[in-house]
Amino acid sequence: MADFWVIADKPGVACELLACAKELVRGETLVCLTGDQETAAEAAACGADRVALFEGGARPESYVADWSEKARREQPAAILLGAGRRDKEIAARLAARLEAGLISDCVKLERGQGGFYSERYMYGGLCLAGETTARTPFMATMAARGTEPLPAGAAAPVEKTAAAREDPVKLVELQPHQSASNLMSAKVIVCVGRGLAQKEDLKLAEDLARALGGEVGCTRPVAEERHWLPEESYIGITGKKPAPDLYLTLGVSGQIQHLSGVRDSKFIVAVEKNETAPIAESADYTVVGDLYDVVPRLLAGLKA
Amino acid sequence: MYDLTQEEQLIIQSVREYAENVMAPAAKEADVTGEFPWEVINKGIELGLHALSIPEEYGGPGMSALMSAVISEELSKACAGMATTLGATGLSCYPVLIAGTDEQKKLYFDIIQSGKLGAFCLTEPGAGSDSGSVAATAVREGGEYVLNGNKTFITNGAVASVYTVFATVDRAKGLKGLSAFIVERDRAGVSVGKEENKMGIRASNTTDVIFTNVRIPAGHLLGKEGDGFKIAMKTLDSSRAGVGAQAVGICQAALEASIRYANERKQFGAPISANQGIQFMLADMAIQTEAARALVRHACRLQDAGQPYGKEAAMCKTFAGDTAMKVTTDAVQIFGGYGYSRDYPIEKLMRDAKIMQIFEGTNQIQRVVVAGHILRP
Amino acid sequence: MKIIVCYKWTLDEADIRVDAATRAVLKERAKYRISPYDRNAVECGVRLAGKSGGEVVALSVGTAELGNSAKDILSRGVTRLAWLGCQELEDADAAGTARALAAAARKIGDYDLIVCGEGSSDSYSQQTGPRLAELLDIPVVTCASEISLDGSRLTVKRKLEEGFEITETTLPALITVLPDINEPRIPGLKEILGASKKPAERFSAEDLGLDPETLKPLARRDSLLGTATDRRRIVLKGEGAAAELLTILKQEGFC
Repeated sequence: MADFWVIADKPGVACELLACAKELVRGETLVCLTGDQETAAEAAACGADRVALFEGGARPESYVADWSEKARREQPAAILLGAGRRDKEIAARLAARLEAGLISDCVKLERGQGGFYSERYMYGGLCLAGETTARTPFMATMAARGTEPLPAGAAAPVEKTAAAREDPVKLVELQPHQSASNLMSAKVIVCVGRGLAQKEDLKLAEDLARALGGEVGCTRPVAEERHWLPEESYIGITGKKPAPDLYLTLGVSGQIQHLSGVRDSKFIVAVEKNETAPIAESADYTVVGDLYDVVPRLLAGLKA
Repeated sequence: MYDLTQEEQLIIQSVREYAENVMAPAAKEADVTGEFPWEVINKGIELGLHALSIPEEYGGPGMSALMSAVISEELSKACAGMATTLGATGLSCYPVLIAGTDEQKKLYFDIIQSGKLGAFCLTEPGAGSDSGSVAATAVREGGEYVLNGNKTFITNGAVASVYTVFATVDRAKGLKGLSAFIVERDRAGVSVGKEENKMGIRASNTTDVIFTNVRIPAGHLLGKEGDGFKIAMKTLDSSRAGVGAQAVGICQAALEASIRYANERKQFGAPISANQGIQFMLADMAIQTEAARALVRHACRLQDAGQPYGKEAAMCKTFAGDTAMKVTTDAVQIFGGYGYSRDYPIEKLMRDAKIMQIFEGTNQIQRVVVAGHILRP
Repeated sequence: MKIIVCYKWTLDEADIRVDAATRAVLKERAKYRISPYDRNAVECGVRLAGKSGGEVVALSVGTAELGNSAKDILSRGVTRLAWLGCQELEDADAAGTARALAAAARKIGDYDLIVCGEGSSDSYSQQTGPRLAELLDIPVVTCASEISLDGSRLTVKRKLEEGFEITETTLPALITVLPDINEPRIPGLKEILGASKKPAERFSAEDLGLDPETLKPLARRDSLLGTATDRRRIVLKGEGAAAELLTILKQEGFC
């Protein structure tokens, strides 16, 4: 029986992928490949049947050659990765080497008699495409869904392998982002859009998020054009795609590229001046009004 | 549009991108402060939007009258003031195009295509619609002319690097003494006077230009002495459809904003666009805009086909200018109190529209031109 | 220095409509345009070549429709265009696209750098760049937000979820670039009018030694439907709206 692979370099991603893969295995051994020690340990505890830890590469991408050779030898039935920027590069390169099809940013993955069936967004989230690939291995990158990891159990064996191939791309420096974003695991997200007049007013959103026990996120322009919040805070089809219980927007008009990133939220509430903004079509409740008027009222009500 | 080549469609795509992404965001500030938006204009110059009519053999884009009008409409939709700046440079090129020698064309167009603006200097304090009463003089002294006189309401007066100037070589001859000259901004004796604080098109620069014993080579005379009136009239004929196109751009901006607002604004539980009174206003605005556009493009097509177009040019400038005033007034009405507020971009359209009935020949003068054509035996 | 910039001729999604009843995707009114992400790739290549005095070859693969992109792409500062038009690429996935691009890049030959956008505006699968690099067996750096070139040493600042990564590699190489790497130029009148004077070469599959069958997608699309939104869409307004919302948030258990 072939193996079922999960490749990740972050513990959270590995655990989510393992939880997802557990539903899809049909007798295969669930193997997690990683270049990260911490990921290896967590994967071993959270659902992997076996962990292959690769060492000696400066970056996760350094192992592409090793992994493709291993895949050619072992012929896994499927390979799943996350949908981070590194993951997507690794997946595409592996797929090219293995001459495999690859479904990017899967939002739904099922396995039936005829094989794997996946769904992903197209045209900035306007359409949903159902796709399958005929070749083996089946390959997909999975959009982060905030899936609960499997409960920790007895640790699976971890086998270590030294990287055999040199990475032609040299790592010079890694400059980590200062703030750590918890958007993907947040139960409540308050998202600010262009309707926010100035950076100082972020405090309103932060106060509201605190009162609701949540985190603050933003739309792409707020992060990339105005630089009011770090890049990892932006939500949308090309950014974070969280699935909180409550998604509350302030001054977000609701472009399709943003909305498709929050589709999996359980409950969407918008505070928006313009009643005909597209967000109103995609929210459960829209409060039509000036956020500078509405938010203080909400805060007062939440304190009371 | 149904009769554009692929290149022309791409040009419109670029013009739209410039108008929407570069001009429009800067329009409000330029309108409020009246400061000249150099950064925006320089970007337009880089794209070649100030020199549309310069022929290909002089390194220009050689745009047809129709394309110039389509471009002018797109630009004016974003900001009629900035469109005026770019258009006025084109206006200043016409006397050279009409009457210039090969050498003069090279001289003038090289300056413009090196990224500079031009200005057309005809109007004087005492000579508006009546070009025959131009008081500026040009006196021949050996191989030079000596220019003296005050020009007023000159678009690009302070920002142009080169002017086409109208002055009389013999005041006694009236219209027959009027002559046209190329004058570079940096010649001794050229100075810029007071800047107008205008009601609309505030992003454009309008000043007095003063010529005091300015010596220019005799070779800067366009055509012959006394050709000035003919050159000026031909210039204004060719530029009228451009002004008409600007007016159509303003109409289109007002129409689109009104439609959007009428759909968004809810009163008595429904968008105001559900109200027939508003529907009829919007329909009339659309009808008038489309009619003005058709008339403008008709005049341009005649011009491009080498047929007489003076009457149609005057008609389209008049009709489009009057329509812009009407459509923008209705737009303000649809917006109600918000339309009257300077925080909303609607009242600017109304202020910008007004000049379309005034400059480059008032709409009254245009009617004189039209009457002249239709009453001709 | 020879730089290849790749672009995709995609439908403008702003003009795609979804039938509310059937969720059918209506593309009839949508027009093709150069994928916006690829405009950054083209600009990046053109600027690099401007500095180092090189040639920029625009490269794309698709059906015969792609021919309509010629004047547009040639007005954006590139030296020439090479493209493959082939009916089998009609519903191409990244695997087929990369295979075709690789064959064309080999035909062009002697490239120092290949620049792609981070993804395409229609599919955004972000596979084509890295796949192409693998097929050509050259190093790849994705998601570049800044680059610098010193001889054949290429330094790339990548923007990743966890931060910035500075990498170094030697040419020939392939990079994919993020939109923040530059502000693509707006083509000027002269560039547009001069576009048809620039060379454009159309390849056939045979010219590139490709069996057209091998260009068909590995990932097969079984369905394409408009996204369904299943929300309550209730609008609250007026003085009491904030209070109403608080009540609802309490009912739903959020406070």
